[in-house]
Amino acid sequence: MSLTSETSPDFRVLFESLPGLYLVLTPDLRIVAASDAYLRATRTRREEILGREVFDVFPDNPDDPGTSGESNVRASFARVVHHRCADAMAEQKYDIRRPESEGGGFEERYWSLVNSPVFGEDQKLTYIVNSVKDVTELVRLKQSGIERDKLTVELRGRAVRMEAEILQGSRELEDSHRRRELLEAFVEHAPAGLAMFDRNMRYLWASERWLADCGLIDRAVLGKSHYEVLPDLPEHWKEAHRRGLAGESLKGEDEWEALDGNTHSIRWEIQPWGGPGTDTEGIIIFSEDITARKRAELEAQKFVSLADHSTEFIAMCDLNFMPFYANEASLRLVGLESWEQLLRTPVREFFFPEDQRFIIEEFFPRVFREGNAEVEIRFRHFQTGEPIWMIYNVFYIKDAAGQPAGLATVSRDITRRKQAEEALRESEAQFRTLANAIPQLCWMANADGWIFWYNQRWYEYTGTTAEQMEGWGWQSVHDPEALPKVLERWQVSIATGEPFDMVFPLRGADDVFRPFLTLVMPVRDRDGKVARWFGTNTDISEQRRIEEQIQQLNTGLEKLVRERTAQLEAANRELEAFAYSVSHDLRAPLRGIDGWSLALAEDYAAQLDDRAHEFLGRVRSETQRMGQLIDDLLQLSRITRAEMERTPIDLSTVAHGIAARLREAHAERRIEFLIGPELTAKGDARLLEIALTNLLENAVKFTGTRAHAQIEFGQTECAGERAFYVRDNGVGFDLTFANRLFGAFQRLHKTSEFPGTGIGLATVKRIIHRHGGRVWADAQPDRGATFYFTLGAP
Amino acid sequence: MTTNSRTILLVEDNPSDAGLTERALAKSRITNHLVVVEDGQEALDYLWGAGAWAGRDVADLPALLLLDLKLPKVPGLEVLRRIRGDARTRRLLVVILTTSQEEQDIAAGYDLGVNSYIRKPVDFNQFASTVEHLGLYWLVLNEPPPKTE
Repeated sequence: MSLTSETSPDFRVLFESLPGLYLVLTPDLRIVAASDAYLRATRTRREEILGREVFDVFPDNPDDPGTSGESNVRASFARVVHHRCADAMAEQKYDIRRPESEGGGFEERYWSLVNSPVFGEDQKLTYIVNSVKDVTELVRLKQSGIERDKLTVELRGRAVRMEAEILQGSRELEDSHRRRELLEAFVEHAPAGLAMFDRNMRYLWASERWLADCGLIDRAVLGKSHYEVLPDLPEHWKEAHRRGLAGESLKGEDEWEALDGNTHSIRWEIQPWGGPGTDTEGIIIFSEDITARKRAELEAQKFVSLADHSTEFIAMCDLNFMPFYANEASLRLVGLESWEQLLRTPVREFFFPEDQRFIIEEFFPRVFREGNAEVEIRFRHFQTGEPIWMIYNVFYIKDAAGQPAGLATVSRDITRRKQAEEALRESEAQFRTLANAIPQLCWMANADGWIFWYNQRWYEYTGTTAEQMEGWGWQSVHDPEALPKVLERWQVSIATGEPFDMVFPLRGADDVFRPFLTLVMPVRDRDGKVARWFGTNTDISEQRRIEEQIQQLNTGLEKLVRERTAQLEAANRELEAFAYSVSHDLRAPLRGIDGWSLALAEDYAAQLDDRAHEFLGRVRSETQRMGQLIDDLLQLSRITRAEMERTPIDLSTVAHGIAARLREAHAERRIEFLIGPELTAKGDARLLEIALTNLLENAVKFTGTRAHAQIEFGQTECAGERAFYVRDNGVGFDLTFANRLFGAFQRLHKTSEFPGTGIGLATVKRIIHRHGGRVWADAQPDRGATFYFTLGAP
Repeated sequence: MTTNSRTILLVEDNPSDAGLTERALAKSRITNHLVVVEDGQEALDYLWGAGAWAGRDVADLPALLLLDLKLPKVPGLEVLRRIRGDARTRRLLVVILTTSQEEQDIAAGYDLGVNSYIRKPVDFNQFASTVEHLGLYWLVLNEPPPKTE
């Protein structure tokens, strides 16, 4: 831009008003200029520092023994001199002296520096511009681990921007004459918008950038009022101008709708200016379009936020494979404790020693060659040393010029998948071992029946090879006669997906066919389609042999049973014959003894005295008792042998019949029968009548001494089961002897008192047992007796 | 009691029982002539005039045959079967008089056409009473079968 105004702007003022922190040094490091901002930030005054050596003004903090500030910055200056190019230091601790008025001492500060050379026309180094940025706050934030990523973005942006600014600006500072030109050129070409106004807001000067931003290119604005040129200026801006003109320094950020119709983010500063000791003569407005930067920061912020919250392993490293970024998840995954530890840890150390050569020498070069690459590899946990399986995906990042600037990775922990794979491999191996170890032959086939695997046992048994057997080769070990049926059934299974189950012979290596039970099960996929078939062939020849043996044994056993049954039947017949003999042959002599005794008594009555008659009476009564004994024994034997036929019986009616007979037989006695109504049961009518007769006869017999005999037949509930009972008010008995009650020939009373053979209750017991029931008694001497019986399940 | 000239044939191998039966009949005043044979074969010989009884008038059938079951040579039930199988003796009044109370014997007896089945009681008084009833019934009350042609 040409300076056509009659009023020359003061470029020193302009320079000193720049919002950045600039210090201009001679090559021997003496201070020739400083921006106001620089003075404010370093708590110095211009008149105190101009002409002095820079490290004289800014000495190291003597209280910080580890400081490297002066030596590092001195080295940077040396590099600028030596390399004749800018030298940047992203972060340098350099404490500054606190004024004596505030107690002296040092304040901790961190700086970001760019030292840029300014060359004269003879290409000789004339100045070094030291442009700095106070990053103390950021470093503190970074140290607290919160905003480290913001820092990365910030530092890079700053450094680049400042470098450009300084390079431009510092050229103007060669000498006082050149200085003015340099300043002119600096401000004119500064990447920021700059405009200088008088007290009436008339343009004294404006940079190209300003004019462009305001849409004022090619318009003669000098000498014109800003408000005339831009009549729609927002009121709050005018207010800011007024405050600037009143001597206030202001800064802020704002949205500005430029003439191109786009909304721009503007950072602005207003500085009042005036000659030394004078009132404000006008203002300088500095504005910077930070739209792109804002957007970039926002994007970066989004990325950082995304990366930070991602559970993926996200990290970046530079070309020396030193990390400069890693998200939380990464640090956690590999057990790194802090951001600092990460920055100190070369990427190679993330890997196991045996993998490091591959990563550095093969894998990373491939990334550079192809843009990105992926590998499954183990990371090493920094604390436990445990392997962490990763899908390690790496791509390289480029700088603005398109040159590789580093590597970035978005990787995933696949340890679980690897473990699952390993487990699967192990279980597969186990299965294979198992399949080869089982005594069955087994195999697998595809859905179409093509067999692709047999276990070892198959080959051992058949003496074949995998080549012979593959697919449908198995038919060669089948019996040709049985094969068509096997094929038919197998084809049906393949078509329907139904399990296959068949016994057929398979030829062994010894040329012998043995029967095999073959089971084939379909293995289905997720959609229910048959994926493959799993078959087993079990040699059942041994089983068959055993079955035949069992069959033979069974046959033998049946024969034996038949023989034994025949023997038993024969024995039974003998027993019957014996019983018949007893019945017939034993009774006949008894009748003889009785009959002839009577004949003697009758025919020789006169010759026999009373005593002889008594003896003959004894002979006869004994004879009759024996006859009774024989009859009872025969009945007991018949009861045991008799066929049972269960029918519904009305026991009440039966009991009434028996009672009537007994009353008649004992007409002289007073006997009362109490028979419950409708006592029905299922059983063998004849046997139950015998049992009931025995019980009632007993009751009649043992109530013989009672003037009024009471005999009751009824039913009751006993342990959830129906029980019948016969109760009398007779002489009863001592329960101590009850266990002898139901045995044959067992009597609890003297024959002289109560005659009997002792077989009656044994008979009752047999009858009840044959019905599946129980019989028991309850009694007390002289207090009557009760006999209970159940009849089992009907 | 009724006097009857017709014969009672008693088949009984036990002389004691035979004697008692005879005594019982006597006590009951059954005066029919009593013939005692000791085995089944002799009983048949008597009826059909064979063996020791050859020449006997077979038309003179006994009024009553008292048959024991347990007999030497031909058992009682077989004797009955043969009697019923022969036209001459088919209608003969046969009473089984036995000690056996076996159901199968009773059933077999009736199946073979016995007219009555009587069990001999051990008590002689009862036996005598039984024989009296038996004689009264079969020889007096019962209308005898007509002679076979």
